[in-house]
Amino acid sequence: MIEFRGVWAGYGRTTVLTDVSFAVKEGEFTVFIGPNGSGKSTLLKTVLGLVPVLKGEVRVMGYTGHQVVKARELIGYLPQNSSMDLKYPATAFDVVLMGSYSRLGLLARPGRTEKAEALRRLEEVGLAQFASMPFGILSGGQRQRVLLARALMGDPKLLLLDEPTTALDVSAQSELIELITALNRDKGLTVVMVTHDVNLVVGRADKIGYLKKSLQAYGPPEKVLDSQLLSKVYETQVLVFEHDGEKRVVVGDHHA
Amino acid sequence: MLDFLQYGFLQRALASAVVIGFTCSVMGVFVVIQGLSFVGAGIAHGAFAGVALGLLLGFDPLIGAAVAAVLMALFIGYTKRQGKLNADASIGISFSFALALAVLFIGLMPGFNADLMSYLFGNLLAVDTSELWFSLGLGGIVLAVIALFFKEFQFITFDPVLAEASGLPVHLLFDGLLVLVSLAIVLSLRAAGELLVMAFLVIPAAIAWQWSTSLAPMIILSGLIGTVSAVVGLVISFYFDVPTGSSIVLLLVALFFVSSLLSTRSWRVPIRRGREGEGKSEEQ
Repeated sequence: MIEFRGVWAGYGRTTVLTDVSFAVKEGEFTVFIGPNGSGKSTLLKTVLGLVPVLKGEVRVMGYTGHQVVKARELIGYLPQNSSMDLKYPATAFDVVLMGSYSRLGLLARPGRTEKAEALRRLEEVGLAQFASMPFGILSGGQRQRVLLARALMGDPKLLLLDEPTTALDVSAQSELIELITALNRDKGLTVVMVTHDVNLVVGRADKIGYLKKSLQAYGPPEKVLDSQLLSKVYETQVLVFEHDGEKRVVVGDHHA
Repeated sequence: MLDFLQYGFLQRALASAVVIGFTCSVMGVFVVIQGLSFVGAGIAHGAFAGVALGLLLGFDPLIGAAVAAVLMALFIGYTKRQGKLNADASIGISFSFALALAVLFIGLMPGFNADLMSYLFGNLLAVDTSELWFSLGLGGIVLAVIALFFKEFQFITFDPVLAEASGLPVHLLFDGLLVLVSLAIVLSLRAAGELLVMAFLVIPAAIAWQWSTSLAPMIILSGLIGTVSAVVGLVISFYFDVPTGSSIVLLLVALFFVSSLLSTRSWRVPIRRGREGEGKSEEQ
């Protein structure tokens, strides 16, 4: 589905990703974690062909080089939502419908098919009753589910999620992760997600990658969830321990 | 009303008010939702400098206005995109620059130029047939482009990041939007003047925002508010013998205050929440 081979990527003279290699297979749930500025969002944008590859090769669903942008039609993307204005006049339905715009092409308008799909996607994320509500007045968790519904428009094969749980309360985080897990397990959707909170995805992710410009480790959680490795990545004390048969991660002074 | 319409100059003024009121109020929606209310002032001052240059050098002032307004729009778009300055500061710089140029060109003109002042304050009642056709033609083009690219403009103004990821030429479309705003200003300058244009670009959209949950209805409502205010303001100015521009702006401001009192919009979306992520405390 995705393959990075010795990829260096960045903007202009600034290299953000250095020598990154990994492969995501179809149907996998892959999570990248790392501190701020580690290149997590850039990695997703490189998959989308938005960031120039300076060295190495990126292959997305069989497309390589400049052809990578052709894979966008098969990708659902949930960007970090700092660019959205909550006072913008848009209902939840309007926002989901925007997910069909790129496939429609210039000048074409969404028709009955796209509108019906938008309603179906809202149902899928459990928000059909909020279709006509202004997007800006929904709770943070509801807004993220609306954006997830938008990413699902057009039946993507791959879902790229950029810190979808940021600024959500614990229950909203958990609901959203449940929804994403269900999409991965029940519908076979390949998911690549970047996050700060590894605990949210333990027991769900097939693979975890630690990114800090370059990939520090990549593999199944049971192999890469390691106190020493995480402490090195985050440059602070990190403890990995088992609780109820699942690995948990605590950052900071855990002796206090 | 019938005696009002028996005069040719009033018929032209009315038609001109409808075109200007509708076009500027429609473009005003994009200005207001992008938080660029000051952009109208920046571009209008640029257009005014173009008018002054045209009058100084002896070419059509409207051509000068169009070129200067478009250049100003592109400059604002460029500086906003560079991210080194926020939009407010870049508009402020272009505003001052344009005003300084306008004053310089005026200073170089021999004597007082009444024609120049008419571009600053406008005169709906002095619109001639060719100016009316100019406004109608340009207004038609601006509105047609908005209708054709509605979904693209909606996408780039709501979520530029995803719009770019979807392959849309976000910067080109944003510049295009600013150019459309500048054309709306140019088509209105002669009849409405710089000051009234700025009111049309902000107030109807601000009122429409209070009653709209979707972009398309907001655009239609804003256009209608601008049109009705222009017509009613013109009729008031005729019967009460007061300046047309003032009566339209005062009517718009009065409508805004009434709307603010009646609308619950400000309660539903607290201003302090601002952009996503800043409003962590708003989590439900």
